[in-house]
Amino acid sequence: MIQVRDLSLDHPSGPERIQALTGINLDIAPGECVVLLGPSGSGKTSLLNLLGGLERPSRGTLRVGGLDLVGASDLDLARYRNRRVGFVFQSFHLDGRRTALENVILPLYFGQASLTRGRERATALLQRVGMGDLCHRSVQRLSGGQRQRVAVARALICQPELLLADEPVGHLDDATAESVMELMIELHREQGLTLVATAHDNRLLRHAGRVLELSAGRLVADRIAEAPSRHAS
Amino acid sequence: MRPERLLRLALGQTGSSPWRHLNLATGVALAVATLVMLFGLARGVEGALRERLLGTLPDRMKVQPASFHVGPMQLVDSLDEPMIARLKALPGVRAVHRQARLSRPVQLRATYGEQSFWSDVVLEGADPGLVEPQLARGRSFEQGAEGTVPAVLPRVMMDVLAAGVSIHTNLPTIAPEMLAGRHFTLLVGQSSFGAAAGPVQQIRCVIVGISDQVGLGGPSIPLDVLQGFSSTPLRYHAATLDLDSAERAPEIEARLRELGLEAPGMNLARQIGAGITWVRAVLAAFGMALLLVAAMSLYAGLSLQVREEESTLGLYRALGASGRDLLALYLVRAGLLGMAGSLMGLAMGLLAGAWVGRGIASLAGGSPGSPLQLFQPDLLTTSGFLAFGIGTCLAAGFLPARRAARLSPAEVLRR
Repeated sequence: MIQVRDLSLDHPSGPERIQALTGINLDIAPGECVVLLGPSGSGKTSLLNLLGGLERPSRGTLRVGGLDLVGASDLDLARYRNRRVGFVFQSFHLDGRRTALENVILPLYFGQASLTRGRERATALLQRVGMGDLCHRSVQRLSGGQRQRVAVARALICQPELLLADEPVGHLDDATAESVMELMIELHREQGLTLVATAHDNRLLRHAGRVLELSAGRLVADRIAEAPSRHAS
Repeated sequence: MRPERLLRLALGQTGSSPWRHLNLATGVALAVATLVMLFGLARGVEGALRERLLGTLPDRMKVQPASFHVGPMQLVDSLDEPMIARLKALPGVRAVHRQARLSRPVQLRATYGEQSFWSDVVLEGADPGLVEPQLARGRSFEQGAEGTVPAVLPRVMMDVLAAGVSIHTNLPTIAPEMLAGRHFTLLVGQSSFGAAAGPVQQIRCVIVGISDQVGLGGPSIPLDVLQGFSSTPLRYHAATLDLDSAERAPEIEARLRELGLEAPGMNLARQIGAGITWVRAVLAAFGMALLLVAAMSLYAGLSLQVREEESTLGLYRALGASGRDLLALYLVRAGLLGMAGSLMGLAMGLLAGAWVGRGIASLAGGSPGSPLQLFQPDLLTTSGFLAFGIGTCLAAGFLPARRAARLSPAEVLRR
């Protein structure tokens, strides 16, 4: 599904350029659950952004499900993000002026799917993530765990093939983090999604099928997780 | 993005901070209101000057024989039927309406609210086409079977009467609508300046309208009726030409000079028109300056919003919005602000214009019964201001919209 070859990314920083990723090579099969592990600044989020089509690499090739993300147009990348990728962010990135339900259907505005049917699917998804009773509540009145559940439902509204989660439990306490991770793993298993999540500690590891370790922008280890995932990919 | 979804998203964002957006739209509203009001007043003033002072409309031309002076005396010739026929034959002339004065003295006698009054007047005859546009509803300028003669009063005469009535009596104010159908009597051959020769003839008249087109000295009756009171064939002191279009006026004026005729009102009308054009240009520059200030304020406001909404814009990009979608989103917001501001401005301009117009008219001494309409907005110019207000907002919103479209989603989501 995902094919990365000699991938590099550098960012301008004043007169110089900072090397965020250098020479990354990897393949991820459909339905895999992969955790990107590494300290802050190791390049996890940069790799996730490249996989999600939010950024273009400086060098190398990157193909996801047959789409060349390096050469794709802005419109093709937008369609890719809308239809094939779901994002879950550490700081939720929900629209505070909207209710939980309105946040979940927001991606549908940028696609072609029916809003009426999307609303039904959003309600069902909110039920699935345990937020059915709170779907008309403003997200500003939800707890961190509840917000992240809404964000997970939003990521799944367009039925993506790839779920990208950037430190999805980074802002949550251990108990809430565990429940959100379990929810994501269940959904990954139910819907056959490819899940790529970043983490800087070991809380996620017991859910992962595969762990990729990054350090200073380089892939330093690619191993099967020590504690096996409940999902056999 | 589908247009209806774009609109819903833009309306949702605009509606989330209505006061802030109202504030941004107010500048546009003030500029459009000023333009609508000032241009409506300029048009009204020009129309009032043309109609009331000159009796001239853009597609009507009053023609007189060229006059010449000998010492303090002004000698004026008159128009005869062959000359009228030549005028009718001029290219671009649709109709010719003749006007003649009765050379005999005439006295007008009338009563109003049991008060009688009389006045020496100059009796004129006119072709019906001259006054038809200004006749009261359902009235005709043809002599009826009941024996009364239809008469049209010059507006100036009605204003003089109305001023006298309102100052010296408690009677209702005289207005064109209430005069229609009232009667008065003309005594032909009678004068307060001394005994006139010949018998006095009495004409019972019914008022059928108030006009700016007839002579100012007294009422006008149908030309064929006037002929009955003259022992010699009438000669015409003036004729009014209806033109195919106002654009043909200069060409026809040149032909008139060749015929030894002049159209004195046209020169003055042209000077007034040129003056008003200058006034319009100054007003337009003033309005443009106001719109420019409003556009700069809108630009600053939208730029600030783009900056404040960067994380939302990054989120939209992550959820599938293209750069073009964000460009369109901000342009639609700018357009909505422009539309709201322009519509507010239109309403404000119409109200303020009507109010200011009435105020100036009352200061200018228009008669209470026939007030000057000094505020006359026209549909085309007003629509143009609306479109210009919206266009200015779109132009002001373009740079912030382009900035929104060019934001790097990864960068703004990282912050």
